[in-house]
Amino acid sequence: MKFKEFDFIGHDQDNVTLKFMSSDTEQLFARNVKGQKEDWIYKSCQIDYNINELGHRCKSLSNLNLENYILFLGCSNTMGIGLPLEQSFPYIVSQTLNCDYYNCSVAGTGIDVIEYNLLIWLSQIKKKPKKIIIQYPDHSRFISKNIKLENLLVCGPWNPEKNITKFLIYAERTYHNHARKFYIENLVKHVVSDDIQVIKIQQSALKHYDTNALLFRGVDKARDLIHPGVKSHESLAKLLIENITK
Amino acid sequence: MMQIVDGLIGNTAGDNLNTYGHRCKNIEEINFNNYFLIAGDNFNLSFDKPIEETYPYILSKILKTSYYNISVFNGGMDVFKNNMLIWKNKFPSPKFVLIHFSFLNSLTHYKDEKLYSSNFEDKAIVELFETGNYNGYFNAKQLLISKLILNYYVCPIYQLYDAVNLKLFDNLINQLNIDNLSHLDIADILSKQITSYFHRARP
Repeated sequence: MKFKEFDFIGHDQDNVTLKFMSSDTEQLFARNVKGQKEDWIYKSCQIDYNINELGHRCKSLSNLNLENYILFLGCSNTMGIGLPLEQSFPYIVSQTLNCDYYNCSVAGTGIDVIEYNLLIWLSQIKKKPKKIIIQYPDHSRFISKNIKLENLLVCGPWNPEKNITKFLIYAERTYHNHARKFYIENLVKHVVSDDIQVIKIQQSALKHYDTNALLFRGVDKARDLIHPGVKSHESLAKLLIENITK
Repeated sequence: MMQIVDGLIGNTAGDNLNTYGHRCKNIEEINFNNYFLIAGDNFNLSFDKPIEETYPYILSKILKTSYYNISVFNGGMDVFKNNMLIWKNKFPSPKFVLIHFSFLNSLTHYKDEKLYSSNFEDKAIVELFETGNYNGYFNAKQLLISKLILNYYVCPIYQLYDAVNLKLFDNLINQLNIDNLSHLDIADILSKQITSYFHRARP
């Protein structure tokens, strides 16, 4: 991850179309495809990851309809890793509600980057979104910065380094992770204007952030066989639309 | 245990603190047309001194302005970020901000809806702190928070620092080394710098 224009955090690459991204790698696909049935939907499905100038998987900020848009923030789930854009829940929700959207999500990140990008958005983009949808990932994830490297690094339970594994254990044991969750909740409550509807979502299997968060669960897998698939995104989109329009 | 009032985090309830747990006047008494903001932690509070002998108080007397001190003892960067951003959202902008950290990397912990600063007698907290130092957790936190503050505050920010403690900003223009300076000295030097800045800035 890197800092981009306006100080946003985005993926390393920008202004690019990728055929594979994040955990959805060409090697993994080659391996996965062997074990699948003939009618596996991803066998012949082309996925384009169009990454904009800020390193986000959505249209350019300059093309966003700032009068009528939803802001999405989250991790790879909200980015729609392993899925064509049109089958990701942010796309479906926005199409159904007839509005534009911006997807600030960055794969692998945790609440620190979500909170940061949200606060940068509110400070830099004068036209506010109609709604903000925040997908909370596993609360133990964090970003780190090696002073010798330009990029920010995502860290989480998948990381084998001792100093990361131990940190994850002690952050949980000392309730530091809970403090990090408290801060994002507190900032969302007190910094986001009251006239913007904020909807929080999280996978039901994760430790809860907020009792008001909408819970969703994966019912199928995306091309990488790791992330939620088409049906999971459809079902989450339905849940969100029902919540927004009720 | 820290207090949380209207989203702002304050010090453990005690004498000489306002209703938010901050060591200054109550918010209703602040002249929002002419005030400065103090943020950070222990040195800014200087609980060992009467408030009249602390540099924020002395500076406000010299400059004839109000001030508000959102510093929290052992609050670290997270409490600083929380208070600075919520303050910016709720109240008019200050003329300038003064920051100092005695313990930049202090951590907080949230249990049973209560927020605590780190107790370093707890071995798990020592491990958390040491591993966070090695794995770049604090470096990233520092980078993100400094960028957020510069995005939200367009007024001058003065960073006080000393030889022993870490600074939040690496390259801030307005910095003052406070080694070997008394509170009176600090207030005196800052008052001259700030008066000069606003004199130059006047059209």
